[in-house]
Amino acid sequence: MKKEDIITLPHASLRQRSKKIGLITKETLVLIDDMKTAMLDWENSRDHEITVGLAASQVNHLLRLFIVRDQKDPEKFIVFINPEITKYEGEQKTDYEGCLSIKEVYGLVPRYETVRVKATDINGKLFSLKAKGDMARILQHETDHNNGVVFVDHIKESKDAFFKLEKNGKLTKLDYEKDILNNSILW
Amino acid sequence: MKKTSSTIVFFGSGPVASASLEFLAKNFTIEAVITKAKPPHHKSPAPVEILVKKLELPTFFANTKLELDEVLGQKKFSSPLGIIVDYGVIVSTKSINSFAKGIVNSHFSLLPEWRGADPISFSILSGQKETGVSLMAIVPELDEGQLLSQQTIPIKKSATNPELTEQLIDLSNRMLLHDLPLYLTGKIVPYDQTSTGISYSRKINKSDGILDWSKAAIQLDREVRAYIDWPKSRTTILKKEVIITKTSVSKINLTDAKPGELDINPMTGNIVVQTGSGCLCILGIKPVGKKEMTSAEFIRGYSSPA
Repeated sequence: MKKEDIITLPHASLRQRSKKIGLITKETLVLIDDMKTAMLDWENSRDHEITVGLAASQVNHLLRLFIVRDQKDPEKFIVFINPEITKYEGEQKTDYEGCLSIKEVYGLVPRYETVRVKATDINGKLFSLKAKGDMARILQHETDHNNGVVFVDHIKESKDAFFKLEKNGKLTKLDYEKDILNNSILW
Repeated sequence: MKKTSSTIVFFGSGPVASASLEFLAKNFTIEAVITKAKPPHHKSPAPVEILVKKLELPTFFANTKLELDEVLGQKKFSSPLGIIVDYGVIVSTKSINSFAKGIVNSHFSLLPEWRGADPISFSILSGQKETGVSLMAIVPELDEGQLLSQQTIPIKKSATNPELTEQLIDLSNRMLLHDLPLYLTGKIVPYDQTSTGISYSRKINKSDGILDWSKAAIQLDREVRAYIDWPKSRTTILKKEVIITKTSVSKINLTDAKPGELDINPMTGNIVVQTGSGCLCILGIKPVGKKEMTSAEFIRGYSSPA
């Protein structure tokens, strides 16, 4: 897969709920590999952005599956099959996030500081982990994708939460009334 | 999910830090700036402090290793990377590890050459023909971290400290712009410094600025260029306290002259001083409380009764 295989809004699949994976087949593993390739291909085309996670729905496969980059080693990916957030902890913290399926727009999104996630790995083994900070944010963002939710949906009413990525890599605030409110791509 | 690769926390306090921060802020999103609080005896705020006000960046103060641990422990910045330039505080392992990708320092020498506080002055004093900038992932040991990248520039024969500093800041900025995104995405893998060619620089003292005429002219010329901003090269000529601002080296010795003895160059009217080896031609001189002038003008002014 290439970066062009990543779908972007207003593609309808991004707002659909994904289905559980019953059996991990060869096709599932091929899909996971394809998703990694697409992520890296996308990243190589960008000067100022890095990819941290990708859900299957973003390559138009409506399956409950996402991959996340290992924060200590960006060469490695952690695969979450049929993931579920079992517990939210701490306060909600607001930080910038973007989405490979939403071009140019970044947002200040509130997310829980800590989450516990239960999922299946590629060998079909159940695992659970507790994640904090950035990782917790990523897991909440990707879980949303499985449920047909994108980050802008969380901040739809927030006038000061939308930003645009400039060519030099800086974020500048978008005009809510003009750029966001009646944006036919986002909503 | 995607992120901008560029949110960083900046650590720095001095004038070089300010010049770097100004550039970085144009090209990266700065989550926060950590700087030293102004000492009570300084009248005006430090350059970084003035800049963060102008740029409206969130700013925190830490003057020591412990204070820094405290700030980083409380704030829990989300940036994956810290950048440290001209800060002057030792950073603990705990603080370094609070960033997923650690803290990167831009050091103005070709490490492991001139580790320590003042690599620029020492690269001029040593008379070397080139120097450069090293980007390094810092460790608590002094300037021993792994390197991200290194680039070289020539040192001009007439280079003064501020001129060379400006060139190095420029090079450092270009390297940070190009290499930080690559490092953040794992495309640059840090490598060890070489175990040979290690040297250490130190802070320059006020007493370093006193010219010792028993040294070679070539060395004194380097001192004048290295110390031009601070502590300045000082001596006494014709019983007047002066600062020497510009010199050139002549390999010819004055006949029967001891180090420190003067003569006048008949062609230019400038002062020539005998040194331990060769002569130093004084081109620019600044008597205490007066403007900078040529040494010929100094002689005329001194010898005239007015």
